[in-house]
Amino acid sequence: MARKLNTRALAARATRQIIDQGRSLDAVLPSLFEQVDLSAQNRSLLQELVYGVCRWYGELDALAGQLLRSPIRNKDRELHFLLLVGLYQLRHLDTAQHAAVAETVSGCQQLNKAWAKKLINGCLRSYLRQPPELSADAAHLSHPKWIAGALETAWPDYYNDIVQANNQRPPMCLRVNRRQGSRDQYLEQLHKQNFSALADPYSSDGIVLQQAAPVTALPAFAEGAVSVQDTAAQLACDLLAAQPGESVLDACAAPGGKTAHLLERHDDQLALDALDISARRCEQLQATLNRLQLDAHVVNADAADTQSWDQPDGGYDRIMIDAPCSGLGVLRRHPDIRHHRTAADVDNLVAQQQRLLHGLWPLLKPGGRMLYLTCSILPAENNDQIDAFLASHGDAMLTELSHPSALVLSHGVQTLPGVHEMDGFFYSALTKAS
Amino acid sequence: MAILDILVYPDPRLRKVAKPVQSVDDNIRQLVRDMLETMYDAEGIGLAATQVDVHKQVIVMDLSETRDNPLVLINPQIVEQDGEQEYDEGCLSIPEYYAPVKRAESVKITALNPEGEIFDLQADGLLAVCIQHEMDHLKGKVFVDYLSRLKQDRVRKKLLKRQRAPAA
Repeated sequence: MARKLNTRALAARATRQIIDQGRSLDAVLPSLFEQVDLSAQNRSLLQELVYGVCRWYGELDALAGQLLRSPIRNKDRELHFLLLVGLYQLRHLDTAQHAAVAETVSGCQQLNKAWAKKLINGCLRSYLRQPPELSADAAHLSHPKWIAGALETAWPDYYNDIVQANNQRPPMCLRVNRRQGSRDQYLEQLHKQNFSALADPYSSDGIVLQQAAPVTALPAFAEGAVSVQDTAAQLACDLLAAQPGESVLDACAAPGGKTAHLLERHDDQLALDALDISARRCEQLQATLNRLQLDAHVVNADAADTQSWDQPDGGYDRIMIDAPCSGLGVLRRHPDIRHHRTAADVDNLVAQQQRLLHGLWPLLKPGGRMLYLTCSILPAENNDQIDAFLASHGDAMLTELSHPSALVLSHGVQTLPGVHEMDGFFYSALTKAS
Repeated sequence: MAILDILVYPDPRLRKVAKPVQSVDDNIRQLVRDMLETMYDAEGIGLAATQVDVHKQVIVMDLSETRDNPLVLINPQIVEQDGEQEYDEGCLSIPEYYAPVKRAESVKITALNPEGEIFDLQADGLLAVCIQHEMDHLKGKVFVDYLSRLKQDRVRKKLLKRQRAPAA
């Protein structure tokens, strides 16, 4: 029999690929699960370790810097990550200390670096004897400087709440497919199967699970009774406010959560064009619709290049632009974003967003509504973006939005993680003069 | 002492059924020493004679971190087993692959030691898993036999590909 599979070593390899080599968490974990079939228990431990180290990297890295007499050489970088995996367990998990240390130390063997056992053991034990003092708050340290700076400038009053929330495990939120049954009926099914679940106070189709579960364990998930979607994303449907019989464009639709919500709400009474620029993501979108037994006209195209795809005569009654964005409002759900996004990316994204707004505005019917949204909390992508758009479009009028759980800004509404009980989303509604 | 070649799945020789050892003599003791050296070299925690193409009922194991606590089972027999556990198993004949397998939580066995003396052993947890895993080898069985057909095909293809183009 081969030696025991060491999940800590696997986690060290995975986090190195994500943080040092820029691979996405959504690519690394599934490919790892494909290479090694893990028991459910090891699988969830591995996931916990990888997510945790990505979230708390800045803090753990600062601790490691103080515990190591000299930095671990670059060619042994996996060991550095193994040490962070060990520190994460000691600092943030309930794992028994001796088990956390022993398993992490024996991870050296699986990485073919048995010589480093003493080093890792020494660092972890010295941490247990006397944890080093950090120079700043741990959650603050766990955000790259440029992100921390941008968030602090944008939200000085809320900064601390935001970074704390970004480093917590988010709740698992569901959206009930109204076509298949009511939220109360689904809650009843969940309770029967001993899920601890509550009706979401901020979304009429939403449910919040007290503890995350694999989707395959949810009643009738495969049949399309329910989807996983954060509360903040569920607001889109109400704020677009489409009416029966209207023509609707969902310009950046994949992977299809909000598209599906529109169709679930309005049955077959919308003429919906769902576009996405990526062919691969269009497949995801189609798969989402198939599972939920919904139908839309899916088009693989760059929405802003309106010459490249067909529109209905006279344009659309409603246009939703779920714009590509930095994702800085969803750091708690995607702990790899903070390691990959750069300040230069934001400039690029702002330009892409502007191109979509400008390109699609002519397709909106007079009197029609355009809903612009991002999962960002940076003003440049949100309030300032709409401010600039209004300045250059005399026929665009701001429609006031309000929601019990959002800040009202001059050009839209904003939810903030840690301030509101949801991801950070921005919504703005523009109406075209008749 | 010598490091022996370990057969790699899906080698048909892994399917041979091992015969009981008639007398525990110097040849067997030499085999045990070679198998231990081979197992330590491959950084395994257990090795059955079948895996080195010797079809006799001999198993070596060492579960200790310090790699200095060998256990040798000759002609092992399970006399009692109880409970159930699932463990992510790996095998020196199926390199770099792990998958969960359900086995008895505890086993009681009898076997001969390298001096030819009979002894009893009560094992649970990983030791019980390892004993059952190695005893399967002696019957011509490997752990992937417990997995779905789909997974078995995937492993077989992966390993055949590796053998055609050995990693540098």
